[in-house]
Amino acid sequence: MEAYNPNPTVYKSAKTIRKSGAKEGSLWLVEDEENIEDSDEVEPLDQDEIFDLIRSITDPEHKHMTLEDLMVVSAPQIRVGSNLVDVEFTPTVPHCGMSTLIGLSIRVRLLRSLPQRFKVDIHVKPGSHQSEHAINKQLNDKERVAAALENPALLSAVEDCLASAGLRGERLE
Amino acid sequence: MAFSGALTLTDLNDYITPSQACIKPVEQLNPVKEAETEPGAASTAIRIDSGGAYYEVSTEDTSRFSAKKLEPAQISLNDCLACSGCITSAESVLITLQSHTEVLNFLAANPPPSDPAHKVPVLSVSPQSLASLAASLASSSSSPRPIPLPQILARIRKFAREVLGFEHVWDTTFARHLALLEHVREFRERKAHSSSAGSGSGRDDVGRLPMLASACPGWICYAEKTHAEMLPFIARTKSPQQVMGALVKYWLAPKWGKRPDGVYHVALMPCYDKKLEASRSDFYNEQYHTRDVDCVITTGEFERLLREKGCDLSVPVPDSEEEEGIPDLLEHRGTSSGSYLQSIIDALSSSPSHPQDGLTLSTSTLRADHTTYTLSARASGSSQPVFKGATCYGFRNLQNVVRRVGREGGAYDYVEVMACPGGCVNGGGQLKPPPALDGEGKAWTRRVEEAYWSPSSEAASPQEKRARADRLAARVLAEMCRPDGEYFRTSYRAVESEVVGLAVKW
Amino acid sequence: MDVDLPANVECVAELQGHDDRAWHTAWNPTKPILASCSADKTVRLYHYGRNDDEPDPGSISFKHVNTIQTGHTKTVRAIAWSPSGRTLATASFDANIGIWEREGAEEEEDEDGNPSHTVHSGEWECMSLLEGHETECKSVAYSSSGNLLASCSRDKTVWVWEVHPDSDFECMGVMMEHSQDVKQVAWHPTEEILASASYDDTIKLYIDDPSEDWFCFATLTGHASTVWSLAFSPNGRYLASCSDDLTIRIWERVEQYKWECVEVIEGVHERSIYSIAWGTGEGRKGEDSLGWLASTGGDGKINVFEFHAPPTTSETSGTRPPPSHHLLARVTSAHGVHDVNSVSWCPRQGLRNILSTAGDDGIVKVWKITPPKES
Repeated sequence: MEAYNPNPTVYKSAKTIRKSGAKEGSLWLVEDEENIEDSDEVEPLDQDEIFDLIRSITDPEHKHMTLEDLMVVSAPQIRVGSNLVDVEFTPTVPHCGMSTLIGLSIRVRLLRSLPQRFKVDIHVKPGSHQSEHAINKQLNDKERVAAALENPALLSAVEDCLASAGLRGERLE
Repeated sequence: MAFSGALTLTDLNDYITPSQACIKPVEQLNPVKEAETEPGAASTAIRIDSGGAYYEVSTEDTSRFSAKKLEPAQISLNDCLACSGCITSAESVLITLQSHTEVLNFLAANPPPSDPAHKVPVLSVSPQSLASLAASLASSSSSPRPIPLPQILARIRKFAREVLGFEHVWDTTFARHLALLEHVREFRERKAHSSSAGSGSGRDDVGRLPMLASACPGWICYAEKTHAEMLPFIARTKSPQQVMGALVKYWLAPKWGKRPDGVYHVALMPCYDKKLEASRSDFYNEQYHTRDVDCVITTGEFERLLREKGCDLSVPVPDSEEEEGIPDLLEHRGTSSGSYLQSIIDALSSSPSHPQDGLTLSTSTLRADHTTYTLSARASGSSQPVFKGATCYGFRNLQNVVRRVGREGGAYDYVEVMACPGGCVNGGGQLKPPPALDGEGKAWTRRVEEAYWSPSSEAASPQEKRARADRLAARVLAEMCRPDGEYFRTSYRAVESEVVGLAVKW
Repeated sequence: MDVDLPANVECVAELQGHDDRAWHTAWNPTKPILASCSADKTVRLYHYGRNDDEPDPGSISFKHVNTIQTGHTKTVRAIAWSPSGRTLATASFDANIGIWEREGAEEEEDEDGNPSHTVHSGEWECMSLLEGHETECKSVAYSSSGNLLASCSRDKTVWVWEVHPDSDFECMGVMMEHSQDVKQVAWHPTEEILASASYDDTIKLYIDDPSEDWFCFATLTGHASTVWSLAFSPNGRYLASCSDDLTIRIWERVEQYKWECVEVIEGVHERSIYSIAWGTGEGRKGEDSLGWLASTGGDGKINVFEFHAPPTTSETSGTRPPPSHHLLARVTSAHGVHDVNSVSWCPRQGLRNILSTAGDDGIVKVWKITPPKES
C-alpha cells in the first residue's frame, strides 16, 4: 500500500526561535522540570518553548522531514495556561492515516519534557481531517495512550519520530 | 471501494467479527537526493478529483501542468489470510476478487465453446444455500409448506444454465459424502494411532484426539491466527467445498477433455469465509495457475444476482433429471452443518467390533448450540462409554472448546465445531430474515433448518440412492488415487502476526 | 478542602510502592485487605486494622503485606475480589484475566478478629488464566453471587464467564454490542444484570436467557463522550455513570427492563471523570438514604455526594421525582498535580465511610469521610 500523502507540500523552516532550558538534544528536560517544580515564581512556559519541543519531531511518513517542515505544527497553534497546554496540529491531507501517530508522538514528547503539573490536550485543526472527532478523542484518552505505549511496535514507531525531536529546529543532517 | 451489496453484519451477537480496521500503510523513505533539496521547494502535491481519484500534480511550474493518476491501494484475500490484523471475516475486506460481479464478468468474457480458450463454467450449490432460498421463498408466498430442495435446485439449474450460461450445476452433497468418508477414515487413523502410541505422545503428523471438525473456515482462520495449539487437533480432511473443487478440476475436467484451468468453478455458499478458504494457497495449482474453486458467492449475493437478472425463483419448473456425473442431494442425517459427528457415530455403531445392538447413544444439550453425544457399550452388565462427541457452535462455545481441549483434551473424542451460532444454516452469507421476522434471528434460523430437512418426494429410496453414491464414491477414490493420497486432505499453519508499527491500531 | 461542606475528609493513609501509575484499588469484602494494581504489572496487598492503642485510638493503619508479581506482560488495569473474598481477578492490557488465590487459604477463616497472622503467610498463585480478548482488558467484575465473572476490552466485547469449582471457567456469553472500546463492567448488587460503559458514549445492560445466550436488553444513551465508569446504587434501583463529557448521570430502573436517565450532575469536575463508586455510607443515615456516591478524575478532585430517595408520591401522579443529592465532601488535588484514576468504598461493616483512590503518581490513598454528628 502506498503512503497517505506521498508528496506533501514542504514549507521552509523558520529560523530557530530560541534555545532555552534544556541541553541540546536532551529528551528529558530534567533541568527545566526542577526549575519549575521547585519555585513558585517560575517563568511561565510560552508557546514558543512548547513549539521548540515538538517542531523537530520526524513525520512518520516522510522520514527526512519534520513536523515543522510540513507545517503540521506551528507556534500560533499552541496555547499555554498555567497548568494546561493545548496543542493543535494540521495533518497534511484530510485522510492522513498517520494523524494518530503524529498526535501520539507529540503527546509522548510533551509527557517526557514538561513538568508533571501540565495537563496536555492535543487535537487536529478543526476541519483539517475527515476523522477529526475520532482522532481527537483517541489522542486524549489516557487509557488508550497508556496501552499504545505498551505496544512495542507502536512505541518503536513513536521513538523513530522522536529521535530527531531534540534538534529543536536545527536541520537534520 | 464498496462492499458487496448483500453484505451486512447480522444482528446475531455471536459472530467472529473483524477487530481492527484493515490498513497496511507503507513508510515512504524518500531518496536522499530529494532530501537535499531546499525545504520549501516542494515539487508536487496531491489533488483529488470529483470521482475521488488521487492525482499527483506538479506545483513547481504551473504553466506546465501535469498530473499523474495514483493507483488506489489493493488488498487481496490472500493478504487477509497472511495478516493477523483481523481475526477472520472476509466481511471486513474489499471482496472484489470473489464477488457476483466477478462471476458475471467472467461469463461475459468467456469465449464460445468452439474456442480452445473456452472454460467450462460449473456451479456448485451448498444445501444450506438451497435451504435459505427455500425458507425465503416460503416466507414471501402464501404457501405454508417450504418448497422441497430438489425443486429449488432444479430452478437454480435452469436459471444458471439458461440465463447465466453455466454448463453444469450440482449441489455439494456428493462432495460432502466423500468428505464424510474421508473424515471417518481420518478419525479411525487418529484413534488407532492414539491407542497404539499411548496418550500424550500423539505424533502431530497423524493428528491428535479429540479430532475437531475442519469444514468451517471461520473456525480454521481463528485457530490459525489465535490458537495455533489447536491445529494438531483439527481434521485434515478438506471441507465439502474443497472436495468439490478437487472433483471438478481433477476428476470431471479430464472427462470433458479439459485441463484444470479449462474449468471455471463457482461455489454458492452460506458463508463469506468460504471465500477466504477458496483463496488459500493450498488450493491453488501452481502448474496451471488455477484454484480448485475459482470464485465463491454467498446465498445473499446469489439472490441479488437473481434480482439483477430479473429471475424469479418462485416460478416452478419441471423436476429436472439429475445431471450426469454426480448425484443430487444426498441426505446425511445428523446436523444441518454437515453431519460430521453423526457420520462418525454411525461408522462406529456399524463397525464389526461393536455390534449395533451393543451400543447405545445418549445425548444431552447443555446449552444452546452445545450438545454432547455419548456412545456406550454394555459390557458385563455395566455401561461403558466408548465414544464421546459434541457439537459446539458459535463463538462462545468455540471458546470453551479451545479451553477444554487445551486443558484436558481427553474429555471428547470428536467435536463438530462451527463458528456461527445455529451452525451453517445461519451462516453470515445467508439471506436475511424477512421483515416480519426482523430481529428474530433465531426464529428465522429455525425456519431455514426446517427447510433444510424438509422431505423430498423422490422416487428413489434413500437407501438405493446412498448405495449408488457409495459405489460412485469408491470409483472416484480409485480413479483419483494419487501417490500422496492428498486430494481430500489439506494442512494448516499458524499465522504469525507481522506487526508494522505504523499500522498498529490503538 | 471546602470548609463549607457538611462532612470532613481526612487522608488516613498514603500507600506508596508502585513504580508506575496506579490504576485501581479493590477492598476485600470479607477480610481486612486492600489491593491495588498498577502499570508496573504488580498487585500490592495491604492489611489494615484499627489502632486501639495510643496515640490515636480508632485510627486505621495500613501495612503492606504482599506484592503479587502477576506475570501479566502489560499493565494490570483493574482488579476485583470474589464475594467470598478468597479469589482475586486481574484484568490486564495483555488481554488476559488472571485468577488468583492464596496457597492454603482454606485453613484460615478468621473473619474479623485479629487476622494479622492469617494474611501474611501463603503465596498468591495464578489458578487460571482466561484468554479470549483480543486486545487490552479494561475491567473485570464478579456478580453478587460470585457465580459469574464479567470482563471487557478494547476489542469491543463483553464476556461473561461461569465460575466452576477448581478455578475452572466456562464462557457463557460474548456480547459484541458496543461499537468501540469497552471501559468498565459492573454487576447489579442483587440480580444478574450486567452493565457496561464504553468509548462509544453508551451504556449497555445485559441479562441471560437461560435457553439461549446472554443478550443486551437496553442501551442507555445521553452521555456526549466516553463513559468511563458505572456504579449501581446499593439498593439496585439506580445506576450512576460518569463520562469524559464531565457529567455524572443517574439512571433509574423505571420498569423491569427499562432504565431512564433521571438526573445529570454537571459542573463538579473540570476534566474527564474517570471513576465513580456508590456505597452505603456510614453513620447518620435516614430511612430514605440511598448512600454516598464518590467521583474522581483527571482534575484530581474527589467529590462525595449523599443521595436521598425522592418523597413517596401517590402512584397515580405518574412521574416520580429524581433522588435528591447534595455534595457531602470534596478533596481537591487529592494526588497533588496528578490524575486520580479510581475510587472505591470499603464495603466492610463500620468502615463504609472509608474510600481509596489510585493516582497517576503511583500512590494509593485512603480517605475517611466524617459527617457532622448532629442534625
